[in-house]
Amino acid sequence: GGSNETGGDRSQDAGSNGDAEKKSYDLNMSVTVGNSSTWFIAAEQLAEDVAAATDGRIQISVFPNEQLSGGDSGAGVEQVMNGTTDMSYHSTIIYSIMDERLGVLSAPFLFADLEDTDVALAGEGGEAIKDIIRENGVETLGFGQNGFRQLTNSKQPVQGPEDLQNLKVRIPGISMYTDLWREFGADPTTMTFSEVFTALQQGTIDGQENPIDVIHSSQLAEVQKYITMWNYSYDPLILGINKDLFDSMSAEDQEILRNAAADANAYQIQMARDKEAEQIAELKEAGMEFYEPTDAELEAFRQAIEPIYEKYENVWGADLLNSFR
Amino acid sequence: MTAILLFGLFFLLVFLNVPVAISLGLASITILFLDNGMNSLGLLPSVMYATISSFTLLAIPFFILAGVIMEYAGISKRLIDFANVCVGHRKNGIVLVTVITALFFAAISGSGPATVAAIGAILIPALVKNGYPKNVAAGLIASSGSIGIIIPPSIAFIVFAVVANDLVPITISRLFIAGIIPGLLLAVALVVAAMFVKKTNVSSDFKSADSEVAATLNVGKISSGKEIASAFYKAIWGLLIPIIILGGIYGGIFTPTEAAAVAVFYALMVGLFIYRDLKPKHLPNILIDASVQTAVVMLIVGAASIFSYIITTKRIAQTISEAMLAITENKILILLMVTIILLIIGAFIDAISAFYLLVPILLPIMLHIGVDPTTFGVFMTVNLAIGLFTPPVGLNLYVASGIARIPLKDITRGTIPFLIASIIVLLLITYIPALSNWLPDLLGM
Amino acid sequence: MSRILSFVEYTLVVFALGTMSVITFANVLSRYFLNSSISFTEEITVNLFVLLTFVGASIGVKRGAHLGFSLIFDTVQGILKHFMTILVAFIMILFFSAVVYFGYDMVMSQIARNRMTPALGWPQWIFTSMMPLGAMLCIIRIIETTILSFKKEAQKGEGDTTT
Ligand code: NA
Ligand code: NA
Repeated sequence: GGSNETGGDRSQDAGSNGDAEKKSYDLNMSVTVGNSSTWFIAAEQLAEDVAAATDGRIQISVFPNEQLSGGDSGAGVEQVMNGTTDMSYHSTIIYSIMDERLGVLSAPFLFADLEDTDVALAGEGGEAIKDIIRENGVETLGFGQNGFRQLTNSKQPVQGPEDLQNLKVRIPGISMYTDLWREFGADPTTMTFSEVFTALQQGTIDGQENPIDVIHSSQLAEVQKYITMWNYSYDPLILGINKDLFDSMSAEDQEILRNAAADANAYQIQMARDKEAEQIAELKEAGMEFYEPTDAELEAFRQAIEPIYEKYENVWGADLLNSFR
Repeated sequence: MTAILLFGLFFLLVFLNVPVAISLGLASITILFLDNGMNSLGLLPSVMYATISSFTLLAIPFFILAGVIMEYAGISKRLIDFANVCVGHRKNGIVLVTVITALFFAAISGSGPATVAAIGAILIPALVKNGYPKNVAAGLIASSGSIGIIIPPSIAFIVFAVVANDLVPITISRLFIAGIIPGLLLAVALVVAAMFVKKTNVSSDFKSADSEVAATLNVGKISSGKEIASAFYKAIWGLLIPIIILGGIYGGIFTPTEAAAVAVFYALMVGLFIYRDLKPKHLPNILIDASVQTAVVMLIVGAASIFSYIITTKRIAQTISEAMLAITENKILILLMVTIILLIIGAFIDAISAFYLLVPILLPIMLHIGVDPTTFGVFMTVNLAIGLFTPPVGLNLYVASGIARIPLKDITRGTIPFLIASIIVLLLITYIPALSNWLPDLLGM
Repeated sequence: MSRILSFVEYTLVVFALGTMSVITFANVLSRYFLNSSISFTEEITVNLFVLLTFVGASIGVKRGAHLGFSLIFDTVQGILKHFMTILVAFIMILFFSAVVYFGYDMVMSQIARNRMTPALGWPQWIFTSMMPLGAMLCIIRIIETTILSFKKEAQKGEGDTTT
């Protein structure tokens, strides 16, 4: 069979003799979530900026809800790697399906707070991540933010590992999370996200974990009373472009894309953080009880999952892990 | 331009007798190839794989399998007996028996043709024996079978929810409940329509081979309380299935997909250990039959996902919606236009393809003019359910004509009274949103 | 040949649908009766679903189960009918060949990337390869049924002349 080194919806030459500088592009960009999300809004801004900077020569069409990949985000990332989709915002959790080393970013209690993540991703660790993603055929045009994953449940305020015993929690269908939640002593379960609200409402499951944005937009406050703000796992976004496509572009076009991407990422992160403060206020108003664990309590959680680090250090790579510690 | 090429090629292939699934797929990859060359075709396996490997759609093979098991398990025969002892003695009793059995079976089966197959073999001869022309009998069965995809569980609602979810959040559970009243309305309409049919002289249309089957059904006789109790007792295991499925979903015990798997094991237990019509040696054939039925649906789903990929990326949906809204923004007229389009499309293609083709185009229009997505899901499904018994492509019609052993063109005339009745119900459902929304709202879905 | 093929097809779909049903049912039971969910096995079910679809489609070709619009085909006669039969077979083969060819690509790239299924960590390509393999079976069945339909037509033709 042929290889997928190029592809996608692109490159109708602007009439002239294939001069790289004048090449036109019609790019498809995929976003996992809906068109009111910060991801989509930032992607649209990226599209506008790039079109403006190139006099419409580079067009980016943004598609929400994994419309380009049959609703499957794993396939969505794979398509960017193969070049059948040109660009995307995907969370690193999804990327870790394709390359397990990338699971390091989701490592439990790796980052204390958002400043911590900003520093780490801008540094040596961030560069190492970009290298891994590049090996998979995608050029990273910077990081956005899906956010820290927080725990909600309907049973009781979760203040320590003992409160997690036998709690039925919906988690992402990724082995690291299953192992992690087993270590906590909970009863982790995977489930299509579209079924989570009903399952929580009817008591099929007790809780779930997601960034505030997701908890808010899925209106989980209606079915969940307690939320634990423990920042247990961070989820950055990767603004990626197919590497072969990117490499084939002129230096000038690459620069335009990089600059616009930096702006879009900054905008997305700013929006996400501003929004999160508002969303927390609204969730409180809707009757959710927030609990912020103390340092001692966080330490107890961390102790409980220590075996995860032993087990996954080899998977992630010790060097990579240390670059974030 | 792309839109014309895409739809043109699709219909050309369909008219050549290329299966609908392959017509969808090939029309789509032709467009991809013309636009972006060979390399973009990598999308084909990727999008198909991602679409088919869906947990939500997994309910489809399970509901199909449960249906096949129930056919082997003799559940439909007992449901018919029960309906017969209850209402068989009334005027037009056999019509009531037919429609009520269709309702029962619809509540355990997710598919239209499965409903036809399950009830047709016994009820077509019985209807003929009671003086209904053979084509009318087959027409009544074919149209009653449509109730199968309106009363929950329903493969159609599952697919609609999956496709619509890209644009607006909608749950399978809500659609299931929303289908109940429209399904009952349709049943009433079919009974009324049958009352207008002129009965023929029994002997002319009734062959001796059929009489053996029909003889087991003693229509016209008033049953004693004891007989009713006995028939109820025998049918109870079948009657419990909808309660298990719906009760399980709404009681938070399982998801729709799990409910379908539970229905499979329940039907298996009833067939093997209670009715004992089912033998372990039947199992391989049951699994193979269900697999083929599933594959036919899922190949369409997979190929249609490429088709809707193009509708999305080429902005065909927007182009068509804008064109339609440019004609009028009047809600009543648009709904009428959409109804007519759906009736025509439904005559030619199956419901599953139609959802993938048309929901991305029509749902934004509906949202724009303020039609509730649940109502839209229900009236689109009822519309396509009518397509199941309209020629030239109508699965229920094919199955019914096979059972009745009369040609398709003869059946068609027999469906006319039921077609008219169904369209009246369709218009009611389209223009009175409460018919679909009231029950789910009441239950807080 | 045909019987071996049938045996392979039947075994695969019986295994797939059987396993899918058992896993999903066991999932419900485990959630209610054990305090441990086995929901991660859902990954097996959704992948077997693809196998079921493509191998089932192959049986469907043999049984003529795929939905279509045969009105025009049924009215034409003689050479035109032969032509249409071949054309339809060719078109169907074209589609399934694309699935085979690009599906094979997808398998190769998953092997190269060492892609694992997220929950169980099994090699994804083993599941994925069932799609091009199933499509291959479909192609064989299309050729088989087309030849058969020609034989039938020919016999019918002979029968017509002798009576
Ligand atoms: Na049903
Ligand atoms: Na039809």
